[in-house]
Amino acid sequence: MRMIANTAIAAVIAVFAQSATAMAAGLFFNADLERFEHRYGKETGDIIAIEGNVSYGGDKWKLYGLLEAEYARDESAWEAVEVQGRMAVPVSTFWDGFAGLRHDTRPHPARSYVTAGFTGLAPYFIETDASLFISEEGHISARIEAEKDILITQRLIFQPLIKLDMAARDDEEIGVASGFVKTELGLRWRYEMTRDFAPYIGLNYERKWADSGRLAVSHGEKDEVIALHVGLKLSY
Amino acid sequence: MTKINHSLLGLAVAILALLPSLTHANNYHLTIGETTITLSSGAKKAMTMNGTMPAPTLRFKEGEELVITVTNTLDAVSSVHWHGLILPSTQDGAPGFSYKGIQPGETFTYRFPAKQAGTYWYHSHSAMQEQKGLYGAIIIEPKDKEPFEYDRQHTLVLSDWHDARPERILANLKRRPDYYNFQQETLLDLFNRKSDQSFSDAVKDRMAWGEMRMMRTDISDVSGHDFLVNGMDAEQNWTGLFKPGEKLRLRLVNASAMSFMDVYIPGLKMTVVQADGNNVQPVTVDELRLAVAETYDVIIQPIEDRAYTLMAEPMGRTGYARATLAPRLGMTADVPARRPRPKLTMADMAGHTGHAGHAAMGHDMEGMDHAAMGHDMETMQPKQDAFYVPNSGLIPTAYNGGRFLSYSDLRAIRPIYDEKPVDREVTVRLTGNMERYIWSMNGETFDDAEPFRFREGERIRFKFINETMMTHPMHLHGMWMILDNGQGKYSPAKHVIQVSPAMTVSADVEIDATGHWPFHCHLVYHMHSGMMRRVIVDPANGPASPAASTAAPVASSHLHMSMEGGQ
Repeated sequence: MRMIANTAIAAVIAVFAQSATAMAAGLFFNADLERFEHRYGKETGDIIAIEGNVSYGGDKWKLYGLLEAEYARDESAWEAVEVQGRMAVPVSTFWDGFAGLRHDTRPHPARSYVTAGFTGLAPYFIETDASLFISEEGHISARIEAEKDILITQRLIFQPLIKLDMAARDDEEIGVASGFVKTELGLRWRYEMTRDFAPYIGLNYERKWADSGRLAVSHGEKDEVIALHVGLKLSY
Repeated sequence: MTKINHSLLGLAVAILALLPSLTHANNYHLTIGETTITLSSGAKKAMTMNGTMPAPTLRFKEGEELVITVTNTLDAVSSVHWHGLILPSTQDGAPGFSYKGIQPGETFTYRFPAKQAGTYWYHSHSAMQEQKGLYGAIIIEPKDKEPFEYDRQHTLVLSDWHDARPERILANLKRRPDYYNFQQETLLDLFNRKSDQSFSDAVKDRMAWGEMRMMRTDISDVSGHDFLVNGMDAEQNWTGLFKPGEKLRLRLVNASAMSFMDVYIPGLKMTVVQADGNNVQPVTVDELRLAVAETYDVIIQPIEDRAYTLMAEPMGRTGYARATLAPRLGMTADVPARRPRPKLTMADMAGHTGHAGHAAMGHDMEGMDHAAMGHDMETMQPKQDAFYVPNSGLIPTAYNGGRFLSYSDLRAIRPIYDEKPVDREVTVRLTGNMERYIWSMNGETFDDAEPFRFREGERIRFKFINETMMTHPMHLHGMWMILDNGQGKYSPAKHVIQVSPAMTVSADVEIDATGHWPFHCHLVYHMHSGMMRRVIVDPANGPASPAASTAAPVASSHLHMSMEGGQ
């Protein structure tokens, strides 16, 4: 697995180096802090959640760095930290294909994955991200995320979101059992004071299924949590 | 002795008297730099020529040799392109095409004969600098008497100032194509329908557009402009004077980076006498649309001793420019209420083939609820214009329900070229991917595409097929495009041709200028995201000129700077 990861890193670097020399112009840097929020829930306690990405590239390729993290204020500890590096290329009008690496430092023990998948815009303007992961232990898992912006007014935007995690095999160390692992449903109402500065409020529902749920319960966690959140979406 | 002295003195006086006309008529020095300008919304840092925005109006006489020296004091490469002028390609002023641009601190002297007369304009052709203020009008007085009369003239340069840097705007469009669209269809609109469309039809309509992942409210890509007349916003109110009863010639130039402008003067009719610098049979209208980079000359005759408002509303109705024509300074007239924005219809989408699932889309459109489509048709004025698809949402209507200028109305007074059979038809599909904000011709962006290659003496027919839902003002450098508008040998010669969504428009070009020429959409962010081609014209008898890649390796690196900017 290490070898696969190293090969993937080398491939990404090679493609980038080649593209960088071939295309000196038309490249853009973007940063999106999709969520920077404070969650309050009876079961979860106070949590700070961060989800964002930086990207650099142009019409033909883009490099992404992605971060998702949750920090529990009550325990003063990071509960989940996931970092991804991706190289994406357009595969159709609305879709990019990507390959990359993912590394989770939390929960313990840390896990590394190679990842590949598709991101893009499904009909009805549904932003979609479908990823496949293979961990260093050889565990295969997948995740599908979909969200849609529904404009209530030009600036008040309602965003429903769904996130599904699936696993092909158990990885009990990190609380994953095969099958549907968990589902997250989010409802956010943001107000775009500018396109790049939007405070929001919302609700989040997270459910761990079947054996993954039982694993959570056995670790003293809940298999079902609801949280209110208040946050800020920033972009550049 | 004294006699000789006197005659010498007389000669000297005569020479001195002649001098100003010699130095001012054909000789200009322009300095490109940065200047703080003031609009109602505050002080702005603009790019200027000789410290003004717009740049000074340059006046020449047909037939004379023009000498224009341009010094670039910016930190970036700049350039000046003489829009619509017929000239040698080395003097055209587009970096990367037979010219390297003007490096920081350097001076370039343009020299070429004025082969034509009329209203034209000039602007930077580098790094989207025209958006920041590098544009001005050119007036070339004709050798012969013009076929119309006027007592007084004013030049009105329309533009769309934006506070943001053009590189930033392009980056924003790339990451979020609706970044500047604050006129989208919302949930509240669905419940507060202004029309008699039923709720279920309205929902079906939205579903149809959503299924295609297209936005019917995307008319102009960018909003947030201050629309200007001669560098002044609506509040600053540029004013031109007249004496009641006088005939006024207005030279209208649309120097906007992105905005088509609908121009009207409540209470006055306008007689169009020139289009893109060329005389046309006078046609009297209530309103006209200036595509980006077009020029029109109109004659008006205000009789009353009162002020008139000139309105210039962008096609997307995201604001307005306003000027006043008045007998005395300080007078104003009412500013008319702004009009509702247009929305694209399924008819505008009909040419859209930019999607992988084109066949599926055609099917969807067939299967679409006809009530939803019929609705578009009902709310539209029963007006038709041969240069918009039937039932297009963009067909303009005059403010007073009167006559709106159509391309079909333009009839040349004296054709520039003989009628001649076309040697070759060249299909130019206008293509793009709105979601990625990539614009192209025949599916290829400028960086990827092979140039169009022609030979001097050929008569080419460009067949523009707009497969996008945006309106593209197509501009060819160095040669006229004779718009096929049904006027036969009197078809007008233009430097910009507007191609509306789903339309096919043809134009013939007499290939009579050798060299490398840009051919592009004049919407600045479309051009800079790929909607441009190199046109190479080989001499009639000589050898083919080398290909672009080998001809100008230095120039092409400049081109990248000019194309993409923001380094």
